[in-house]
Amino acid sequence: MAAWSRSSVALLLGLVACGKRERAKADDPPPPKLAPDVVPRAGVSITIDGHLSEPPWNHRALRAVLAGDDGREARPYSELRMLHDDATLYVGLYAADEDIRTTDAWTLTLGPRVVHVDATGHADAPDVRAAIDRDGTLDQPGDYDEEWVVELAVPLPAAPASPGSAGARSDAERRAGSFDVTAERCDTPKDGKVRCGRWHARVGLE
Amino acid sequence: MRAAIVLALAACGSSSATSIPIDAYVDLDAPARPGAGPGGGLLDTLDFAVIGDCRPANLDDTPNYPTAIATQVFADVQAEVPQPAFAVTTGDYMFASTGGNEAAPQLQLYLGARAGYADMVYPAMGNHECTGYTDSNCGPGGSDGDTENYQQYLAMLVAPIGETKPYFIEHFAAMDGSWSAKFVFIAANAWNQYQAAWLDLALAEPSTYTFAVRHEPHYSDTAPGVDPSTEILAKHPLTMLLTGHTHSYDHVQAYKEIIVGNGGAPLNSGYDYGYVIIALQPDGTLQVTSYDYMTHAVVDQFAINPDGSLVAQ
Repeated sequence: MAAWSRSSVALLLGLVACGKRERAKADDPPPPKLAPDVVPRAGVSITIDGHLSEPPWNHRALRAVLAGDDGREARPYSELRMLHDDATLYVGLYAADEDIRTTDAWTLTLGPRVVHVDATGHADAPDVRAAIDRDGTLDQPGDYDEEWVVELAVPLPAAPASPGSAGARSDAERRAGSFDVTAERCDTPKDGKVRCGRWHARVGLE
Repeated sequence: MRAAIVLALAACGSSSATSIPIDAYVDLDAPARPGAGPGGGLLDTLDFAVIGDCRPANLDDTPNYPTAIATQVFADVQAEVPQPAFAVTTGDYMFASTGGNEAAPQLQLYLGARAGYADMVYPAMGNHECTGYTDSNCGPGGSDGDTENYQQYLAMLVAPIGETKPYFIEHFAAMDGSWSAKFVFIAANAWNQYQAAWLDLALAEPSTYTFAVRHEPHYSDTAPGVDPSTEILAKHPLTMLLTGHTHSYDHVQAYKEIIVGNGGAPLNSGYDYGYVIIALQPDGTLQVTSYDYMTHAVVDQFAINPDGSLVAQ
């Protein structure tokens, strides 16, 4: 928790519901649609293996496509997804990349903390768990690569249990606990031109 | 004249026992009907589109299938003047797990987008139509067998054009008999000795223009059929190799190759989504033009001779 300041803890107070997690049943109705700036609860256990294979990554996650300097979808394509549970913010980072280099990296700003994660799967924060899945070769410019995916588990600040806070939070609680997220990635494709993508929003937790 | 050549098993040069049926054949003539259809057809001119990979970024991510992009790409091709007589697609229409049920829903989305283009579309097989891995090999004799992705590709994309295998040939000829063209679709992720023998025979057929369509470019040699088919291609005349797999556009003249993989799959270079139009010119050369899907800007343009050599500028 060292990387999260006291103010960030205060900001995020009340964000972490302490209610008992319920595993979705096959015949459950689909969960209600959340606002686009709300990070949904995962609802299932997330394995940090570099594969965004748990169904909520596709069906529930907050999903954002980075934009380039021209305001259009970034080229190469970059995408961020987020889920959470009581203790952890899960982040999925997709990077299309025709020439994967050790130095290729994301910069992720989550509230007051900044995390860099590179194409080796290394995150520069000891409390952040990271795993990578690469489709391509590292530091071999003679071939063409496809993509790399990083899955991160970022600890959320501990929050005191509050009676009645189990389950979904109210809109007011979400607004009070919202925090800024910025995702940035620059890459140099084979044409040698540095191209960057960026996404920023203020988000809350479901 | 209509001819069919039945491959003799002995011609395959292998004594290994397999369960592969001996039914590969090459049908040598263009169907004698106007317009593009199953097997090819007779055309006023040779003018066609090439469209690349279209799949979501994440496995089984049907909710985020790039439907809007694909819809725009096919609408652009439909709006081309003159409208291309047909389109070829370079493979990868899904990102679905072989043990799941997302292959058919993703192909439904693709076909919905593709419906914006009214004429025939001939679909090459990509690695995602096997297991998703570039080194996967499906179909008879393949180590990965008949995956759900493979079966749905055959049922939903290949069967409607009257073919039964992931490798096939389409024949076109001029209405006035002034040229002929064959399109040889190679399935590098359903590779076996029978496809190799078929390919050698198919390419031996004389034609004015020969296009080979294979998902993986020359450098993606972990796909089982890339190096073997490249060797066979080198033995025969070739106008152009049309590939995808890399989600971008590129022209690699050393291999007489264009890479068209920017049909909706996540872009991995600086190029935007788009498509390519190849059009016969009055002098018998072919003009190749790569377009941006949003702006219709020309990304690249060059001309080639029937033997694949570049036309001097």
